Amino acid sequence: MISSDVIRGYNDTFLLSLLREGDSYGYALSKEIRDRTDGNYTIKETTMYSAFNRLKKNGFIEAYPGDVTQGKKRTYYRITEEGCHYLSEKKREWALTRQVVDQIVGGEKDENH
Amino acid sequence: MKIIKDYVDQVFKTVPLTEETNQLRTDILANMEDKYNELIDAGASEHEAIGVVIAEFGNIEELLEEMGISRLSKERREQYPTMEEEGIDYFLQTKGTIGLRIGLGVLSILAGVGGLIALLGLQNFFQAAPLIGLVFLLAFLVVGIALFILEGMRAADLKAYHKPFVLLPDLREHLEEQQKAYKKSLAISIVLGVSLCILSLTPMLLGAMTNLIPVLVGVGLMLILIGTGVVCFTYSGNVYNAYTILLTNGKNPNSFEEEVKAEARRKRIDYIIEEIYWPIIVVIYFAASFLIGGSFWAWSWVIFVLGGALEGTIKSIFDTWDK
Repeated sequence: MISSDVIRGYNDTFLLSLLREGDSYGYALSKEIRDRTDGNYTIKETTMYSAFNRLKKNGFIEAYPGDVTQGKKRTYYRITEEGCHYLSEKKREWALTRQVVDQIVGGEKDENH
Repeated sequence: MKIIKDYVDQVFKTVPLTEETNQLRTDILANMEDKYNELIDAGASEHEAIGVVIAEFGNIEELLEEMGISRLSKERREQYPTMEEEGIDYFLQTKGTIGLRIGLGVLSILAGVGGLIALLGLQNFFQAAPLIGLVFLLAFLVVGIALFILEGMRAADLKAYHKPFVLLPDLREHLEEQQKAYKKSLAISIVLGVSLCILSLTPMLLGAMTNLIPVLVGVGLMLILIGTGVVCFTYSGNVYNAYTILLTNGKNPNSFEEEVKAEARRKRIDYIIEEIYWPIIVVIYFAASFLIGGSFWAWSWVIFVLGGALEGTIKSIFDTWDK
């Protein structure tokens, strides 16, 4: 399990990445995050909705009411054009971050030498 | 599952209700319930599932801060409840029941009196008729009065609906539509009630003008028919009125404080008009009429007409002043 402090800055990017693959709603997104990380990271409800709120405010995503499933009218989210731009920017930033951290903290590659 | 709902309700208790926060609560609750169901399907015990779901809820403060929402003040929370669908349905249903039973109470009492009168009319046919009539009256009186007392007590439980409360805009729209739809039923009920009251004259007339039935029997039947008509009025009237009460006291969460204040101001104006304005007019009327005397009495009453016209003006001045 990863601590939520370390990953805090990436929640927005996670959600944007998943929404890039298609519109989705709260539970499906949090389940996807947990499954893809083999249960190493679980996003908390309030963290996720804080992120939704931030992304919405910045115009990176749009919310719309989905169909009623099992009597519940869920909110669905869709990524916007601006959101896509922001995501690719974040992707580049992450590649650089990973490189920098690896170069200093060192990955397993270095220890194997 | 109920524990999860209670938990979310508890957490959101101090969060001001708006369309936004209401949807947020619905979404988060739906997520948590999905998660719970999945855990149960995967073989977790109920306790484990609830534990995990609640642990993964997170921290509401974080979310409120992000959304720029401040918690409700304790005062407003205690003074003004939020009515949700269940509360609204309860009120509508209870008002309907009260209306019906009050109507039945009236019917019961009228039936008792009517029964007594009718039996008195049958005195010539069998001797014990007045006695039976009296017993009949007492029995129905007891039922009627019991209904009044019980329903009066029930009405006291609905006090919370007679003060301002928070009503979500989409719920309000729904209520407005329902009330509009109910107008037809109300009209039908009124027509039915009025018809019954008019029809009620027939047995009395039959008694008075023909030899078919004794007059008193006719009068007794008339009272019973009128009682039946009253049930139509009280039932549909109460239901319709219930919508009006909800729509008047239910305030939009976004402008709650202003609406409550505006209403308090309106009440103050009404108070001034009723307790000061009209008494002054009455005093002027008598003082002027007595002092001038004579033929002045013939037309001094005009002051009431003028007063009435001016009342509307004063109210509208206050209203525009408010805005």
